Amino acid sequence: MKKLSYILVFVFLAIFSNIEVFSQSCNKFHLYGSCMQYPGPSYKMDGQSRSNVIGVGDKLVYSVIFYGDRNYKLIFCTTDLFKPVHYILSDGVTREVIFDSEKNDFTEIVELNIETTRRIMIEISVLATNAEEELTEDYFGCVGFLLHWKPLKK
Amino acid sequence: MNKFKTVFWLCAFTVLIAGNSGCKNVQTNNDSQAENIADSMDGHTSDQESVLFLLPSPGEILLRFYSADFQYNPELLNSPLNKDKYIGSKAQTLNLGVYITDMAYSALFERSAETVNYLEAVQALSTETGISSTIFESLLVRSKANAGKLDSLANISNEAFSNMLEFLETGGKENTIAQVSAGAYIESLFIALQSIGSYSEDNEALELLSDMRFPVDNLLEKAKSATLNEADKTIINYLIEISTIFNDLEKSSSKTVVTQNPSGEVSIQGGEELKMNEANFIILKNKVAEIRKGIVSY
Repeated sequence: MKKLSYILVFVFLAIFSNIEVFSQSCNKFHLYGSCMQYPGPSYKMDGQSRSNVIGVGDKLVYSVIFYGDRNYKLIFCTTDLFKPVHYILSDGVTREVIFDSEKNDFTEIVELNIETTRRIMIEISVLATNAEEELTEDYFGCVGFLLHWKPLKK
Repeated sequence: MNKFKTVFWLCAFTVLIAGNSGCKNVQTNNDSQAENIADSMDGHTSDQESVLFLLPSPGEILLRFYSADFQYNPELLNSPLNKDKYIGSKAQTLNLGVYITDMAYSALFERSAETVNYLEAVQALSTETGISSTIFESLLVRSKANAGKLDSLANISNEAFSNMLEFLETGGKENTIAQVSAGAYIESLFIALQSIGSYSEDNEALELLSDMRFPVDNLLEKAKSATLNEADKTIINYLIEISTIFNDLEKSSSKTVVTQNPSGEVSIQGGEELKMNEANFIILKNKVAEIRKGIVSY
């Protein structure tokens, strides 16, 4: 009887702990935290906004459609431990660099005025400059970007 | 006393594990669960580059055409009453995509009752295709409460698409995403082409139609990387047929010029523009109508 009660307690606790582990996800990370900032009047959210799991040394690459005659505001965010986010925007065809956040004080926000519809590649990594290496080697975090757009004033 | 100690340590151990994993969206690298998540992620690159191809929602695509003075025409849509007639996963997933687009179209034109009907059809087919129906329940309540409000209905329709993508991405079901999205994009193209009606060189909607090349190409790449079975190959063939027509459009290129103003705002000018002539338009319209007919037939 004693053994059975131990087993039951252990199974319950094991299930409980697994629920916590499996519920860990970066879904909708871009919809809260530092990504969720008021973009300004007239902006609409773009459904291509995304979040993902990331570790130091990883690189995420997204192919994103940007429509012509629009102004886009891109906001990047990550788990505090992994700041700053390093992102590079490049042309989807030529891969020429359009914007590199490293050369712009690791700004988390960039505005793009797009004349004609194009595909832009977004490469994201995290640098974790203020975190101890031991910590960043052992952990994954979340990274996300939120896209907003409004018609471009001509 | 010994019994108490054992239970205490078991509890302490479990709380430690649970607390650690739930801390500020950080997971241990050593945790095999986390490794599995990282390994299965698209767009994650360490040794070789793989790209996550993102797709605008059908609602976002139709919104562009909506501003080009389209008129509401319910006869273009697939009746939600047909939802029970689709048998087999290929027909169900493709028509799930079709209904998502029809829901977005109804929402754009503030047709509340129709939007709710299509959302219910989406929920029903989602269940059939292994997508949790609970992700649509709060949206159904909101769509009934926000009857007649364009922004709210459009947001609900976009949210339904993104909730579904997230559910499928989390489950690693990239092939289902490709199938649903293919159905949705083919329906979007069908509605756009039928709404334009006949070709007219000065119709602004033709430019918007040409822009569809970009999301179609992204979807094709996504589908190629997710191919697992014969059904996926059929879908890839559909997309290749459409993509080939877009690739035949007349192109005019100018050098891409990137400038940055003192406040940091970046402007991108130039690039490639596509021009759709009457022959391209007719070929595309006929091909999309043919593919769409094959999808919605039962």
